[in-house]
This record gives sequence, structure tokens and C-alpha cells, in this order.
Amino acid sequence: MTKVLSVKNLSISVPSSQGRATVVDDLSFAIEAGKKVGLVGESGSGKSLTALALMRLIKSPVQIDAGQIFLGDRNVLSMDMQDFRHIRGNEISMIYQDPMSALNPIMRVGQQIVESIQLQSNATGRQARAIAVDHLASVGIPEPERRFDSYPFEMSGGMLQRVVIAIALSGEPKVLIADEATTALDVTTQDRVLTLIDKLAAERGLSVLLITHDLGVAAQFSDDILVMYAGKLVECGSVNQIFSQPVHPYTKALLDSRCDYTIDITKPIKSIAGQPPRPDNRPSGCVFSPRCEHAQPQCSASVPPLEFIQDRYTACFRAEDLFHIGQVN
Amino acid sequence: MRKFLIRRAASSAIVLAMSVVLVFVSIRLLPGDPVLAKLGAATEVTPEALKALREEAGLNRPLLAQLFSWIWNALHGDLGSSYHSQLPVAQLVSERIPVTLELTFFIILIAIIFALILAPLSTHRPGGRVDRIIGYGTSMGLSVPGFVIGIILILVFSLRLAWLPSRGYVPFTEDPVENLKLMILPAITGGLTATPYLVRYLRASMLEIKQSSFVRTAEGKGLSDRRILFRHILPNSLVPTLTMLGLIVGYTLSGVLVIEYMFGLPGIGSLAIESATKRDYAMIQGVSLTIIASFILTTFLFDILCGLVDPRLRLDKGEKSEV
Repeated sequence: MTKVLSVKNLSISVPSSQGRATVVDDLSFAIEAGKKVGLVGESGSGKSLTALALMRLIKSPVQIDAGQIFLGDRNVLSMDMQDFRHIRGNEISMIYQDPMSALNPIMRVGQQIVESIQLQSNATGRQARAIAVDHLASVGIPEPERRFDSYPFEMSGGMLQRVVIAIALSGEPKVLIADEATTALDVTTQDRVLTLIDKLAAERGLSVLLITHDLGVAAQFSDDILVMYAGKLVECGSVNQIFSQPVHPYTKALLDSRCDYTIDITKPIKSIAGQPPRPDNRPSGCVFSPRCEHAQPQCSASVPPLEFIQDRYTACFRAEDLFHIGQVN
Repeated sequence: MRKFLIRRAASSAIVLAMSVVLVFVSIRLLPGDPVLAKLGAATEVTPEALKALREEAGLNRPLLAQLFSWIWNALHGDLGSSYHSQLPVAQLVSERIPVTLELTFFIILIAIIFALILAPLSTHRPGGRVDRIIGYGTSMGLSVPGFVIGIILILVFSLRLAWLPSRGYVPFTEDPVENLKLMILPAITGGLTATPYLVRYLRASMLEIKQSSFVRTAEGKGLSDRRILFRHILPNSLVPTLTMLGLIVGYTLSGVLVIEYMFGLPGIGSLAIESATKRDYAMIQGVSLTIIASFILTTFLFDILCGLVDPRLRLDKGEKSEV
């Protein structure tokens, strides 16, 4: 399989009272052509910053300290901004968190798509309009011809997110990043938008990075799962392995803390004791060790490397033991 | 849009009516007597003669009656006659209006041009060297009074370099070149006072817009910085700034009095000073009405302008957006 996108040793930091705090720490992963990858983790785990870094939308005072991001074989981070602009929105594009604020409030929605189309081609105004109307139709907006002239405040959240998707797909993206793309929407709309992304991705053979804190969404949508905790990748593998046999204690705890009313409504929701560490106060050794019920002295002494254990990568010293204990239970 | 216009027009009319009453009443409450002022202190007058004069000017009638007849006449374009020169107020005022309008126009033009250049420069790198220099400049402009700027300009450009005249007025229709030459220094004086407000306001507004997610979306499309600035950041920053600009125009219209006085321009401002010193009720009323009306009119026009830029403002109440 060819890797469309690969991230190598990415580190991102923010300013803190003691100099700079690393919020994304030595992150590496890759997405293969046509695969859908779910990046999950709590808020503050560095998911969204990772997404912004892929688009080079990280702005001072946040900064990328180290690492490479390869789109195909080109290192995006070392490219001239002028050159990267031709790639951004064209080969790699993004769907944003809150559709209500992601669009220019005083510009007609169709015009916002046209703007993007005219960057990629030298279509005339009328041609671009026709293409934009097609895009609106392909993301399932009824009466696209009329909707072209609507302003964002005249449309609902679900419709706006479709417009945002249309903008993201107006180039010929190979990689689509969906950063909490359905979080701001209500549940039924969420499902429709997700199905739409799924369908469009399949039609165009897109690779998708779906960033979400919603494990249900990630499980339903992804081929592979990346689990992030406190800026580090703690476990990654295929969706089946991660969800049916999590090895890393954090992944396991995260799965256990889901509330699933379909199983037992009286069952209390389990939560993970303690708080995720603040970026300027990360524990030594394994970042999860202070909250981990399986932690041993070595866990806080040194950082566990990401190792291939039981058909997935995981960063835990006790992965092998815990896997076998899990098997026994 | 029609409802929006009607609503704005109605509220403007109410404000105008209330201001007129306020001006009328407050002038009557001031100490001093226009008849005495007109006759001059030296003249010996009998109480009978005074009474006759007051009657002639209609000053002995009840206040309310005076107010209503004044409003009635004003609606017919008759603002009464000056107690002093006996000339119609409407005529005197309308002779002065073009001067003030021309001066205000140039002042605002200067302010807009500077704001559109300086604010984007300033927000390009917030906190950078250019931003700091512009910040110092606008602080100075805000704190130095207009007349000081005027005096410096006169000293340098009229007295030292003798490039431009320092006083006087020639109508544009008589001698356009001389008219413009006479306008340059007063316009720069006013412009330098108005510019800092507009620059700072636009800068703050642009910085806020720059943080919004839709600007990030625009960047994510791969648009150039210039296009993002002109199509996304500036238009959105303009909405709040236009309201501010409307106020600045209003203040300039009524506040150019010092500049007019300093440069000997026969505008509304200098007329106001003259009539106030003479206690010419009819003139003060006429001038106040003109200033108030022009203030309200500019705010009204700028409201409409905002509505043109921002579709959300055109939305009529009850006309719910479609979902």
C-alpha cells in the first residue's frame, strides 16, 4: 500500500509559564491510500493541533518544533509557503469543527465555493458558478441553484457543514481531514453528514483523517484507529483490534467510559480517575502512568516506546502481560 | 430591506423631534436677552419700547406657542429671521453649509484613505515594528489638540514655506484652484484629528476578524493573503467601522467650528460662534437644527451603508431565515 500522508516525529509546543510546553510530542503515523483513519482522544490531547499542522494552519504563539509531514514524497513543512498554497485546499483539505462560524457571514455560500474553484482552474464566473452548483448538489443540498445565493445565516448547521464539505472537495484532494466535523451537529444530522463524507470518500478514493472524541463515530467510520493521550500516540491499529481487544490501559479505560444505553441503562458510567496532565506539567515516564491502574515503578521511570505487540502498535511496558490477563478474563 | 429602511427613518425622525424641543427649550432657559443684546447696553431705552420690540419678535408669547409656531414654520422651510441682521435664517445657514460640507468631505476622505492604508499595515504583524510605529502615531494624533496641529501647519506651510494661504475662502465655483488651496491646511488639520480614531477602530476590528474560523477556512482553501484581506477580513471589519465612521462624520460636521474659526472659513461653525455671542435665538436655533439634522442624516445613511455590506442587518424582524 502506498502512503498518501505520513507524519514523522511531529512536535508542537505552546508558550507556558516555564518557557514552552510540548502539546504534541514526537507523533508519527501514516495514512495509506483510500484508508479512513480515526484519531481519537480527550480534548487537549493534541488532535486538533495535529490537524492544523497538516494544513500548516498553526499560528504563533503555537509552533511546530520538529518533525516532517509528507504528502506523497514532498515534505510539506519545508516547502515554501507560496508553493504550499497550491497544495492546500487542492490536494489536502479540511472540514472544520463548527460550520456556523467556518463560513464568511457576509458572503453568499456559492461564492465561497466559487472562490475555491477559481483557484484550481481558470473557469469563468459563469462556469465556476455551474461547477459550484454541481458541488452543492453532490453534497446533497436541495435546490442547489437557489441555495447558491443564500447567506450562511439563512442555512441550518447541517446544510452549512455540507457547504464546508463542498468547499473541501472543490479541489482534487487526496487527503481529507475532518476535525470534529460532526460534533456541533445534532445526532441525526451527525449521522447524515458522516454518511455523506463516507460516500464521497469512497467515490473519490480519498484518504480521510477523522478527528473525533466520539468513539462511536470513530468505530463506525474508520478502518484504522489512532489513540492519542496528552500529546502522545499511545496505541494504533485496525478498528477491530483496538475496539475488541484494546491493549493500552488508556484505550481500555476510554472504551470502558463510554456510556452505552443499549446494553444496560442502569449501569453506571465508568470514568478514568484523575485529570489529563497539563501540557506544562507532564509526568516523567509514561504520560498515563499517574492515572493507570496497572502502573508499575518502571512506568514512571522511562518512556515506553511504541512497539508492535499483538498486531498493533502500542506504547506500554505492560502491554504483553495485560493482553494475556485480558485473554484470561 | 424596506422595513429596515422605514424603521431606521422612523427612529431618526423621533430623535430629530426630541432634539429640536431640547434645543428650543434650553436656549430659552439661558440667561440674557436678545432684545437688549441687539440694542446694545449704551442705548437708553424705555420699558415700553423694549416691550414693543419683544412683541415684534414674538418673545412674549407662551413658550409652547413659540415652539409650535417655530416647528410649523420650520416644516415650511421658514426658520425665522435673524434678530440681528433681519435676514432669513434659512438663507444665512444655507450660504454657510457648502463650506462646512466641503471641509468635512475632505477631512473624512483623508481619514478613510489613511485608515485603509494604516490599519492593514498595522495588522499584518500585530506587535511588530510597523504596528508599534503606527500605534505611537495614532496616540499622538489623539492626544494633540486639533488647533495645535493647525498652528503648526500654518507656521510651516504658510509662514515659513509660503506654499499655501493660511486664511480665507473662495467658492469652488469662482476659482476651483484657489478654493482647493485654501482647503488643504484645514482639511489636513481635521483629517489628522479624525484619522487616529478610524485607524484604531479598524485595526481592532480587523484583528478580531483575523481570529475567526472563517478566515482560517479561507486560508485552508489556499487563497492568497491579499485575497483573504480584501474579500474576507476587510469587508467583515467594515461593518462595525462604518458605524464608527458615521459618528466621526457627525462629530466632524458639528466640530469643525474650531478649524473654521482658525482658518477663517465662513462655515456653519463660525456662524454658530457669531450667533451665540449675539444671543441671536433664531440663528442659534437654525444652526442647531442644521447640525442636528445633518448628524442624524449621516447616521441614517451609514446605517443603510452597513445594511448594504452585511445582509444580516437587512433582515426584517419576524422575517425568519429559512432553515
